Amino acid sequence: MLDLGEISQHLRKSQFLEKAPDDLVHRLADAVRALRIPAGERLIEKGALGTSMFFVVDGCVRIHDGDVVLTHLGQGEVFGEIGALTAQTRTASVTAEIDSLLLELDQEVLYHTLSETPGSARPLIEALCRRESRLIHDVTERSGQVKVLEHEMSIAKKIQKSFLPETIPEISGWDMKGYLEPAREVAGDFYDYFVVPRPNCVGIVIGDVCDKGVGAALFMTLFRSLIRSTALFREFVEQTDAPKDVASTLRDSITLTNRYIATTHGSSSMFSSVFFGLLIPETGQLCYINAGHESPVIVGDQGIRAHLETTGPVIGLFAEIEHEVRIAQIHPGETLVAYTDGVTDAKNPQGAIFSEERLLSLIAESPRQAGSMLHRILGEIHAFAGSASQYDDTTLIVVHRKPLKP
Amino acid sequence: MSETLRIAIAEETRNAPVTVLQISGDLDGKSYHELEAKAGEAIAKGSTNILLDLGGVNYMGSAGLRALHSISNKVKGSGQMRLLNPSEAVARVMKTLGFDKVFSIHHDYEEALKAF
Repeated sequence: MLDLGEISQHLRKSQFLEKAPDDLVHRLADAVRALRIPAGERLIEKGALGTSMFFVVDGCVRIHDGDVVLTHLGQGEVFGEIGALTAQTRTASVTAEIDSLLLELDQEVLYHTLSETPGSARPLIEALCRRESRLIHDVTERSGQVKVLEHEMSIAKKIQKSFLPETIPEISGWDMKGYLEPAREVAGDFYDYFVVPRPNCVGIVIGDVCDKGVGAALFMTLFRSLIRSTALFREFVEQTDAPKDVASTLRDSITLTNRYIATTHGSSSMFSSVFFGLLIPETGQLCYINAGHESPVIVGDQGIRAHLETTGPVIGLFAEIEHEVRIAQIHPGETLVAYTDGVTDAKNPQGAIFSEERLLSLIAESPRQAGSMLHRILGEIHAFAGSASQYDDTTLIVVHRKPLKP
Repeated sequence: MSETLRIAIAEETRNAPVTVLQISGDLDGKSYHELEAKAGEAIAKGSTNILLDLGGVNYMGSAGLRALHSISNKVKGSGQMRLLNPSEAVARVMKTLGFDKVFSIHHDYEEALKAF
C-alpha cells in the first residue's frame, strides 16, 4: 500500500490540490482511504446519494449515463467533488475501465480539515472555479456543435422529403394517398407513386429499409431512386427493342435494384423490404412483386378479399435471387392498403403493440375512399399510442378504385 | 427487457469440419455485433463451415438477420453457413422477409452436420 509521502504526492498532482498549502495536503493524506477497483466494477451509481470525492492515482474510470460515455478520467484527475461538497445525488455513474487505484475523501473529513487549516479554502475554491469554467467552456462548445448537427439534420430531413412524391398522380377513376411519419429526424421507410408512360401504368411502391436513423435514410434514398429510375429507364434512355410489357418492367426493376445493391453495397448487409406494383388504371390489374414486405390487402364489399403475400426475399442482400411476379385485380369500389411494421408495432404507453390483427379489422370496417381510410387508421393509431414515443417509422399507402357510376 | 446473448462454440466433424455456434438470448440491434465478432474469429482461425444453432434465440430483429447475411457472405466461396432449429417466432420473421428461401434451415443436429 501507499505510504503517507506517496499519498501526499498523488494528492498534490491533482488539479484540485495543486496550489493547496502543504499542511492541508498532509492532513488530507492522513485522512483519505485507498481503494483498488477491478476493471468493470461500478463505483458510483447515478442518482445515489454520495458524500465522497475520489482522486485517480492509477488506472482509468469511465464517467457515464447508462450506455452514453461522458468522459474518461485517468491519473491525477478528480471526480465526485459535487457530492463531497454538497451531498447531493450523483449526476453520473462511474465504472472502472481498467484495474484502478483511487483515494477516497469523505465530506465530513474534508470540511473538518478545511476548518482546521487556516487559509486552505481559497486555493480549493479557485481550483473548483477553474474546473467549473472549463466545464462551462466544454458545454458551450458542445452545444455549438449540437446546433451545427441539428442544422445539418434539418437539411437532411428536407432533402429526404424530396425523395417522397411531391404530388400523387391524378388518375381518372382512382384516388391515391400516402403518409410517412419518421420516428427520428430522417426515415428508413419510403413510398412512391409515379406514372410509367411505357408501358402505360402507375408505379406504386412501399418499402422499409432495415435499421433506423441516418444509415437507413441513406439507403432509403438509394433503394427508392433505383426502383424509380429502373422502372422509368425507357423514358431516360431510348431503347426501342427492349421488352415493354408490365411484368418484365417490374421484374427488371427489382432485379436490377437488388443486384446493384447486393453487389455494390453487400458488405453493409443493408436490406429493404419492398412492395412494388404496376397498376393498369383502365382494367384495375395490378402486377406486383412483394419482396419480403408485410402483405398489402385488398378490401371490398365483403371486407378483406386478398392478401398480397411475399413473392421473394427482401432486396439488397442476395444477388442471385429472382422474384416471382403475381397479378391481383382491384375491382371498382375496392381499396388496396399497404403499410410498414411501424403501423402494426405502434406501442401504447403500457408497451402493448397495436397488432396486425387489429389493423386488419380496422381496415375492413373503415370507409373505402383513400383519404377517409387513411384518416381513420391514423386516428386509431395515434389514439392508441397516446403519449408513448414513436419507436419506428410509420408509413401507409391507400389506393382506391372509385365505384362505377350507374 | 431483452435477454443477454450467449454464444457457445463447438467443433464437429462428420463429412467435413464444422464450427457450431450455439446461440441463446435476443439477437437484436445491441447484440448482433457479438455474433458477427464470434463467427468472424472462428472464420479468421480457418473455419469455413458454420452451423448456427438458433434453438435458444427468442427474438431476432432485422439486425440479427443482417448478422446472418454478413456471416454467410464471409464463408461464401470457401464453405457454407447453415441454420439449426429456429424458434417459431424467429422462423416467422425469416419467412416474412424471405430468408427461409435463401438459407438452409435444419431441425436435426446430426442431419445438419452431415449436410456440410
